[in-house]
Amino acid sequence: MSAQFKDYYAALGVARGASAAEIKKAFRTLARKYHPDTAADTAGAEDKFKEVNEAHEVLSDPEKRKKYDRLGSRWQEGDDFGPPPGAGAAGGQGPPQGQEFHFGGTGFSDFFEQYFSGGSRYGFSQDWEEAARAEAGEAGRARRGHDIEGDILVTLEEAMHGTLRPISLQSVNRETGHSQTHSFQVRIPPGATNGRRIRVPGQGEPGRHGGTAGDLYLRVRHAAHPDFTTRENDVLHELDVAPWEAVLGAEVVVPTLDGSIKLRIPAGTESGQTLRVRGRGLPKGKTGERGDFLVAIRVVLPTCLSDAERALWEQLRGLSSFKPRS
Amino acid sequence: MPVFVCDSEATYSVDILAELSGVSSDTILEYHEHGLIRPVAAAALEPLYDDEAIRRLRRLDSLRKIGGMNLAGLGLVARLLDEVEQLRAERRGQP
Repeated sequence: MSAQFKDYYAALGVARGASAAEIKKAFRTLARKYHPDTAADTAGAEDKFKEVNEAHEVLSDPEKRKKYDRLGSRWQEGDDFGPPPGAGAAGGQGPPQGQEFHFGGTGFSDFFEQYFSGGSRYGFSQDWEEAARAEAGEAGRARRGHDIEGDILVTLEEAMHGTLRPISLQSVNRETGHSQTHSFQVRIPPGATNGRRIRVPGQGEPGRHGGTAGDLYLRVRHAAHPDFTTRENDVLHELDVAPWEAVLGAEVVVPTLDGSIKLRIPAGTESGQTLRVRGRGLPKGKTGERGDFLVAIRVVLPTCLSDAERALWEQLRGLSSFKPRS
Repeated sequence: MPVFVCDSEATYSVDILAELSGVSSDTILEYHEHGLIRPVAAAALEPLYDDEAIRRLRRLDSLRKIGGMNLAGLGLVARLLDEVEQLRAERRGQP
């Protein structure tokens, strides 16, 4: 049961050999273009937004990208593409033999779920297979089912305020063909940071010989936002300022996830400097405490100068005693 | 179709944690003493653990079965796996 192949390079509009920087740049541009808040044409924007996020998820991760490139070349050659043996929700390194898992409602496509979702089990798939064999050797003994892991795409707004997401998990027994679908709602708490795991009890692999079922862990993946990125509970924003704003100082209106704020740029702020606004980041648990809002300053230069402007700059050059290279 | 609402902010005492993770209370306390798992709240009366502790405990248990390691070995491997995950996240530009 193979999912349809997705061309992630085409989704981002980059060449197959694109550098990490090129991928990141393409992603930021397209995320802004299709984000629900900023998309000009909302009709196909939501699907495009998901596609762009998913492509970035795979291509920005060196391990996933390597795997994807290998998959891609095999697909071209028309290889017979069943899921790799032992494949499960954990992207090929999940529970061994017999069970196949398909997620719904996570924000990722079937293709992603089949090959890239979840963390690699303990980082080393060979060890996992060995452990499974060792445990299988204890025939007849009640064995707890394995945990499975999947990714869930969460917008920053959802991360900020929390949300209830409907998720479905279909497990297919490859030997009997019997399939079972469990649907449930997962509460994403306010302040769910990128990479945080949410445990859904008893929704993992069923136990053997009367053992209890394992758990499902959903790993939160923050969706792209045109204006913000996150780092733990801090929210990061890149702000471009004019040279005079940096030199003389200024008050600038800056967007945050919960409303705009007026930010004081102190006189003499250098490019690359970060200004910290305390307590305007993502919530930290139930205490009411929040992470910070970090503004990375980038001084950008006017390039189209009128004659009058040029004259002023030249005057400044003549007057100034500033020596950047001494 | 049943609907489960999962509260990811639940905390558990050692005894409940033992039931959920399949690891004995004594072993949990031992792991705690050696810093292999950390409680969420350094509560006055007793330590409380979150879902992450369940995951870590099961991982430690599996590691123990795979590698037949002593406590020091377990601790080392667990820390290495954490570091690998951290490094991978950093490589993706998401620390």
